Amino acid sequence: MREEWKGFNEGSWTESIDVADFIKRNYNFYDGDASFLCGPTKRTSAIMKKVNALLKEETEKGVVGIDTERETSILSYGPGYIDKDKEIIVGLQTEAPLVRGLNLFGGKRMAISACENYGYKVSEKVLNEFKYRTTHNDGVFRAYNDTMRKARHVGIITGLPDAYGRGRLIGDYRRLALYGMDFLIEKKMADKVAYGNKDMTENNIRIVEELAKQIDFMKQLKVLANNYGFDISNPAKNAKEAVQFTYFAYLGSIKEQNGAANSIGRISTFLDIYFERDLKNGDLTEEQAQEIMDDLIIKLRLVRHLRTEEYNDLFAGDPTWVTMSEAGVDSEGNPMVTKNSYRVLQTLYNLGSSCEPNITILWSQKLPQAYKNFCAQVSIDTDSIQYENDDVMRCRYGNDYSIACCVSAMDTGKQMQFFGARCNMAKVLLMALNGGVDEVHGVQVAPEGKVFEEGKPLNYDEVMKAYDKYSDWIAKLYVNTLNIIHYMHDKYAYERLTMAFHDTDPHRWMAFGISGLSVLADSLSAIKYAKVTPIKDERGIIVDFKTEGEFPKYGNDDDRVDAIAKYITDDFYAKLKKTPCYRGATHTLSILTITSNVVYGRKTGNTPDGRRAKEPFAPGANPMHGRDASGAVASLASVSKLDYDSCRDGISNTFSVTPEALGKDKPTQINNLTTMLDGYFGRNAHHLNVNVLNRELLIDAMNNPGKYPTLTVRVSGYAVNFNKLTRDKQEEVIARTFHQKL
Amino acid sequence: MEIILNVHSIESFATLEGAGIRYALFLQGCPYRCVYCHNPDTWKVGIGKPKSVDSIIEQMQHYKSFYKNGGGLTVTGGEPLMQSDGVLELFKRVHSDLGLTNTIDTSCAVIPNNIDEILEYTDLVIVDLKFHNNEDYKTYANGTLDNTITMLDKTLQKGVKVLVRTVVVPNLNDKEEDIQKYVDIVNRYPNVIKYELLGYHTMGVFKYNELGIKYRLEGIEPLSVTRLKQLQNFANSKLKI
Repeated sequence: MREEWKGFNEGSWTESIDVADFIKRNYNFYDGDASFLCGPTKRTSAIMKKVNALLKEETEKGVVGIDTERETSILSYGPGYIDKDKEIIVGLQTEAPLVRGLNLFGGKRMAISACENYGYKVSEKVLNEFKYRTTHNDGVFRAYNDTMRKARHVGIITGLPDAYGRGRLIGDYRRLALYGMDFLIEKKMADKVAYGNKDMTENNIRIVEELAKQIDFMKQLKVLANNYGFDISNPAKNAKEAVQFTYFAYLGSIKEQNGAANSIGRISTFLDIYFERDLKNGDLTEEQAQEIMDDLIIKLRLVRHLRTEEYNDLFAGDPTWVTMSEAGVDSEGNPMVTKNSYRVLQTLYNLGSSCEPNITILWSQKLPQAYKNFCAQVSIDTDSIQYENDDVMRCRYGNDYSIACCVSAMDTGKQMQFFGARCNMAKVLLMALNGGVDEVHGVQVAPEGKVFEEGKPLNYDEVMKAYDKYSDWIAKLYVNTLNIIHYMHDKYAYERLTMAFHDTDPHRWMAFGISGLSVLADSLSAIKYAKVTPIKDERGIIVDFKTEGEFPKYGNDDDRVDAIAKYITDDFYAKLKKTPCYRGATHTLSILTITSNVVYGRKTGNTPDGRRAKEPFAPGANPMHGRDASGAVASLASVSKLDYDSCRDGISNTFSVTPEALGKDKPTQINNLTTMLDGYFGRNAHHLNVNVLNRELLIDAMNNPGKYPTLTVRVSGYAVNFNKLTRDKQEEVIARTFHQKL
Repeated sequence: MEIILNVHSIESFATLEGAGIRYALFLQGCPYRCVYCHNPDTWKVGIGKPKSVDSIIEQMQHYKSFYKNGGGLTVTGGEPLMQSDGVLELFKRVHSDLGLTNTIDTSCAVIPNNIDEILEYTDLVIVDLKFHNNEDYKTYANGTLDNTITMLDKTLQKGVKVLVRTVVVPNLNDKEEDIQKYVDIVNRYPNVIKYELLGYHTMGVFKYNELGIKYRLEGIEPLSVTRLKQLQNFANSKLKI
């Protein structure tokens, strides 16, 4: 055993890269309560004072600054600090906190227009450097066919990562701390030799080239660490180094690429092993342990990328999805809760509530009650954390998976995903009724088909026949579009360092998504159970509906319509699977909208459920605003009927409840919230965002933002600072169902 | 024969009507006309949605995972004891089929013939002690204090736990001497586990406008949180609980 590993239990992890095995053999389960936790030190509070001033400046100006003189990469910038003498964990993306770097690999236009949005200009120097370079965006548009362009234009598939980094990758950044870079490079070199001796098929050539790129960037990371005064060649010797090394690995990744979501993975239980060793040896006090975690979290709160207005429209509030996955249960059914699982939550008290990092509790019925209670308390106090069901994911992804972005599970370092935005299902229905014509733009997008008659009530079976045809068409188009995007992304914007922290040739998921589920389900329910008559405009296009009579609405635990919602997802997943994915990826599907439910709604005409044109959809798998009128349990029961096996990329549900509705006093509220989470996840549901707040508070915050500088709300798999949302998105959040009772 | 209840509405996630998370069944119909009632739409008898005991049990069974840790069924309304046969049957089934708890939230407007049997299956009674004399009961609720006392006596005989609540309305019953009188009543019942004051609010007023019913407390402001706290502290200092 290496000197740095002294005191650890041996296992297969000592011979080959296997962080999961290391954790399993060494983690220290903690079943006590939160009373051991320490508050912020003077040092931490002093740093936070500086950070808060910068955050305030950012809120006012949009960005604190943009470095327009160079393109971002691992070694573009010299060391940067918030307060050099006081920082424990070091490293910034650029040379100053919150100053954003330029990344042109995704697309030049995006970077130029993002700068313009904030009153900056990309320097001539950088533009010249990129003059003869093909970007990911250039590649994609060379290959898109006419239908793909049209589908993108009318917004039936939108938000595609064809002009920005795809993200949703999680490097196993822990590897750097556990093994040191030299060992990791050695392993990659061995892989390169092995692949180099295989037949030179297109696939193997690509892997060999990718390995060369990875090794190059791994060496660059050593230089970066060295610039900050660290040698990362060998394994971390103590907790502070373990945190620092893990962070360096992550930092290098986000210096190189600007993917939409760059999640950090499942690090706290891993790091706890180092903390426990140091605490046991008397090298560290609890206060110091908390201080190190506080300092790491400060760094993660400062992660920024430069985005355009259009991007912010889809993904509002400047999210970076530095998702941290907490707790969960190991393969023997033992909860993996450690003291560090508490320390991470404690940062929300020590540093104030925050939307990032996106703390995600891997909830299991088997988690200790004390930890469940602490999570519930933190939810009630801060609205900053989300919950995902470990009991449904563990059996499918093993016990070392992490969440990327909002709800996407993947085995850490062993699996990756090709992110694929989403398809507007409400529009698919409207297109089916209009014979392939888009109801807003009036252009023929899909193949011509039967146009339903005006004045004649819609027949459910005929509508379903048309829907079947057009959903089949869009599924094929959608897979092929993503295939182009990810081919080009691998070719022109390959994430060299992030992928260096993955196994060579990992399993790949291709993550499709749908938006407008509740609108489509309710619309089909209206057609089936009420009387829906189409109304055409002067172009002969169905643009409105006369809906007469009552119909069951998704979100009230009514099987008549819940079965339709389930059918939509099962059916669409089956249709996607008919077209093979690039690089042998496995199809997955999510019901998650980020904040694009507002944008998709804006692009979609009147729907048979009574929703008016341009009105927002409900987020993710949520029932439509205000239509879940039978109480929270009925609403949760409806969502829990969707089958996770058809939606392996996640089923997002955002739940807002007033504190009064949750119970009269804090202990009752905590008890009721944990009971509710156990109840919901006990039905094999997948994800829940929990907001405990009043609508009145949000309205007040919308009108008086200065009063609520850190008001955090969970929106759809992530949290935002409420002040950073645009007015229409704030209004949509306010319009959502708040479960309450007089 | 299938037993049918007339239901005003169902709240599948109720937390204020007893322990844990509860399935609150709002039953239609009430003989009282309390001036501050925030559910006037539950008054009228004979309307509402018919729902069988079987279907309610079936739905609760479906939601059972949410009702652990002391949760269960709460019948409220309206005045749930106007439909006492249905309530009895439902309570029996909640105990035997679901193993969950039963709560009645009552104005005591009705003391049904089968009350003793119902109490056998009741885990908690929430008694709304509206006024401390018959005269105010008559004027502001079209009811009597005597009925409430009868109900409290029954719960004591049967040894059922009781939570007593009083809505405090400014200028009506918000003096310390009022609270003292309520407490004097409550103190006669050792089976009371809690006495809770609720501040008068106006969140239900819009329903009166919708229903075209005159709202008799027009112009009266909600009770302030501070005043409510003062009065609750006063009550607590006098309570024997």
